[in-house]
Amino acid sequence: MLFVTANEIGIFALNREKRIVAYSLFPKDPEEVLRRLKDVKEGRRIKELEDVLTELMNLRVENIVTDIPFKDENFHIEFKKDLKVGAELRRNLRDIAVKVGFAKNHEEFTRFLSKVQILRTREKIRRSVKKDKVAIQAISALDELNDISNRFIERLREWYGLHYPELGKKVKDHEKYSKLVSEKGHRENFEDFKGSMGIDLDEPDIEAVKEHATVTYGIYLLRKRLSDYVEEVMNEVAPNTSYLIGPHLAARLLALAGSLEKLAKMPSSTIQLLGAEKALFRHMKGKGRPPKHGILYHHPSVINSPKDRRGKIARIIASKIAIATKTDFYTGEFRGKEYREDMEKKIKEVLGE
Amino acid sequence: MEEIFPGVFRKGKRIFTENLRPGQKVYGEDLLREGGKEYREWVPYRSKLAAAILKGLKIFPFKKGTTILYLGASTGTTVSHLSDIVGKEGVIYAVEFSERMMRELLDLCEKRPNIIPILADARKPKEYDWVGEVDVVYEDLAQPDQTRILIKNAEMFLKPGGEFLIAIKARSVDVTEDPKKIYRESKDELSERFEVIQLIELEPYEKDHCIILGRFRASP
Repeated sequence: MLFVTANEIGIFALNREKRIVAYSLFPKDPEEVLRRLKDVKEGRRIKELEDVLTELMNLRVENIVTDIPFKDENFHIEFKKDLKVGAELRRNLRDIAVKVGFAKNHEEFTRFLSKVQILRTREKIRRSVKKDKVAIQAISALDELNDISNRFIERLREWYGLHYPELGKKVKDHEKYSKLVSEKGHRENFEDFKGSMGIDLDEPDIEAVKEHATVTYGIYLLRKRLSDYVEEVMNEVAPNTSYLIGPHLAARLLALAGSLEKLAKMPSSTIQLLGAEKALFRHMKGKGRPPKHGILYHHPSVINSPKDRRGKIARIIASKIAIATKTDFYTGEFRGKEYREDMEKKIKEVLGE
Repeated sequence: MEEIFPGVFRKGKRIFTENLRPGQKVYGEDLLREGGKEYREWVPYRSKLAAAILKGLKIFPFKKGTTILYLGASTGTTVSHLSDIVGKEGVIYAVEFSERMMRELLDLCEKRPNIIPILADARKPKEYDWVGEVDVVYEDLAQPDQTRILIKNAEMFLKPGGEFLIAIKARSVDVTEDPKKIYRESKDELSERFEVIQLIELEPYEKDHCIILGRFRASP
């Protein structure tokens, strides 16, 4: 009986005493090596494997134990995913590579292995950057836009208010306000401006504030589009969690956790306090009361409930989120509806409705 | 330039390693030419190992040709200096779990072929069990279970009699506990399996950090 194993330098056959009896080396090209390892792993026959098998035929070997999944009528083959002999060979690969002439010396082999690992790592990172990262960037951008739009509209209202203060009272909606100013400019363009207490402004003064209004309005439009986009991405990334608590709150939890995987692996007690780290550590140091909720504070059922029941409600929501994120990450099937109904029922009980 | 450890040079209050890639900086450190050689400053505020050296590390287990398993390589600040020291004959197996950090580390690996990047969780050494035996294990993880992780990895990879260095961040073990108590507990835990040689607190370079140096007893 012989062992057949694949590693970064070629295909090897070893006997029970762990001596190498046959081998065929890969070309010394990291990309080529990874391609061949992928091929053998997926059951394709490659030249180096053929070489070794031909030699084993000549040696009249019948039984093979191997970590490579392949079929061959000439042998009786047993597949073993974790082949101990193979692992041991790999551990000594630095020495073996030099002994069989794959590398001139340790230094050359290290250089080769480093390249192989760089390629492997790049590939691994490429595969794992998933859409949850996109959602996190988008929700962070949205939060920043919220800040920015608030600052811009505050400035605009104050600035344009010098000229036409009455408009501020009449138009409460920020988006509409910025749109009106950007379109009309001078107060004379409004129908009922007469009797305004504001100061009169010259053309260049009006142009400046008008331009500011245009940008402000643009920010509101962008915010709206980005908000829709977050919703879209979140429904794809985490449909259950998004349905349960709304896509935006779900995205913020995701951002705090770092990734869907991390969030899915969190216990509900951690989820309940995401975003309340400062208060939690303050409490652990013995100062202050334990926090009831972190970002979940923004959930309508929490924020609209009496203070003494918010903790309980946050706990109920967090425990359902823990389930929903696990469903999102591990299975992807949609069960958000039943989760939400169940959660709402429990919240009602707490509120005594 | 006075060589205080193999490959580590002191000039005045600053320490340096000889640049393996002359002309190239890694993290914005100073470069210094002297006697036809180029040296990179090893900044103790950026690298805990440099801080430990300046605070009186007794044994420096690295030299030309050393093989190192480095857990928590991060973006490779300390790794780059170890890469200078072990030279082309040495190897650093650099384990890092965070993809963001790894992306930067990969750029360093491209330039310094004695670093072998491994994207894996140091809690699961089986994922990189092909690494084989190493001369030194270095760990800088900032995880609550960091001592356990070191023990696991040392038992799997460290050669008998080989040294280890572990950077302990008290704040990541328990924020509320007194750092000195955490150091002592880590030291006691390590003493069960290893010979602990030295514990160095890294003030003023790092707050609430220490480095523990030890040796792996040959298994009974």
